[in-house]
Amino acid sequence: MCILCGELISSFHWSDVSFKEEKASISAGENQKERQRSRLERAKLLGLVLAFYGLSIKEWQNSKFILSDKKGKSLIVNDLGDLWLKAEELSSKPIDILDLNFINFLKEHHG
Amino acid sequence: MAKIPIILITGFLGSGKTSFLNEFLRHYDDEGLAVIVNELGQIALDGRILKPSIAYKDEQMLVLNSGCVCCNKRLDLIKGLKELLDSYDLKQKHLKKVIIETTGLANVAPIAFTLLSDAFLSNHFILQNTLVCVDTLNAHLHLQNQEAKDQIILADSIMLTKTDLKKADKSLIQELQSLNPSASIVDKQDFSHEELFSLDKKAKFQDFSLIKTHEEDFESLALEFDYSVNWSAFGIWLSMLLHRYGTQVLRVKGIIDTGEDFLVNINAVLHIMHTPSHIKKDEQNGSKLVFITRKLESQKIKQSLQSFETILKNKDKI
Repeated sequence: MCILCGELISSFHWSDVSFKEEKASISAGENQKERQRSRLERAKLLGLVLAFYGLSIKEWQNSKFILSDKKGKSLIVNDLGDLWLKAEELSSKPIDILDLNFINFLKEHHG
Repeated sequence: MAKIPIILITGFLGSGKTSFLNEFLRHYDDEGLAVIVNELGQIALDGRILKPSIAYKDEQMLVLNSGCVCCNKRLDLIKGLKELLDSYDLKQKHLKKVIIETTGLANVAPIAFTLLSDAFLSNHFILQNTLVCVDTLNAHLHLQNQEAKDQIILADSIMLTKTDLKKADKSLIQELQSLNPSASIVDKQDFSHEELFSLDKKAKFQDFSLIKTHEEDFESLALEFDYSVNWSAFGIWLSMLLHRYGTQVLRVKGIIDTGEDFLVNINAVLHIMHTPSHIKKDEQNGSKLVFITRKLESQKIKQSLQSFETILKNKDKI
């Protein structure tokens, strides 16, 4: 259960699996820093990709992402499984990774 | 507690699934093992192997999304596995392993989806391996059916059966390899029954130069890259690919080098992704990926992955 919005989350998206060994006992907040670091990194990388669709993404409270278009319309995103559906809601372009325009955009900006 | 491993046995009608199970159960006697058999019509199993631990279930499908085969839930499995666990608990016994034998026409994808998406099942069970039986006598005939091809594409291991009657010829092996280059092929005669639960899902990487692109609409693509990949970036790329092309990308298997001291093993069936697991690093560095696609030019996937290279190589620390 997400304590911020009461949403019941019953499964993890595969990309959120942590490979770090679980310790038997952890002190409060010990994993939070690492989790936040990887979430911020993901938001940054997603920003590079979503720029093509005129969208931006922010990490929020170590629990969700906020996806916005340039007019300020925003949606809450749980994980990568959720993201692309919501990006299609906000963007006029279909989210297509094999689209040549998208590939050329990536090559031009991050090639 | 460790999750209970499930082995899924598939194979076309008459491909020797039940005979294999029969032999297996005769050699393997462990009360921690339960078997679920999906019945098709009136097919009855040989009375001698009927054990209390075998549960017969009719297929019951909950259709969630009519457009996609894989996103259907198998209600019979949810119910069957829960009952199984309950009955072991009541008897105060420990359920250690489960074998599910599907019907000859069953599709594996909804089973994998059910095991991963149901909150209860995903916490108690893990699909360890999907084994497809291929009968060397009738394989060429079976392979004319779409269901039989799908079963091979979606499997992790291929077992050749009836090899005592007819050895697998080279053309059959080639055909199987070109359908699913990432699966390991075993001969039932050389297979010892203890090995069943040690089969893993790890992709096999054969010599891809031998494999012809399969006729019709199937294509397979093998990619290797020698740099270590940013796992976050790879997750973005693959989730984006499967979002749109989940029904055309039949399989993705691979070993990803994320620059840590372990490798990440990934395995996707249609747009269902098995939980990635980490495996020991071997001598070879770098990542390997295999894609099997239908009605999708696999070279486009290569092109797209190349355009992602800078993002995949991203090492900026935040």
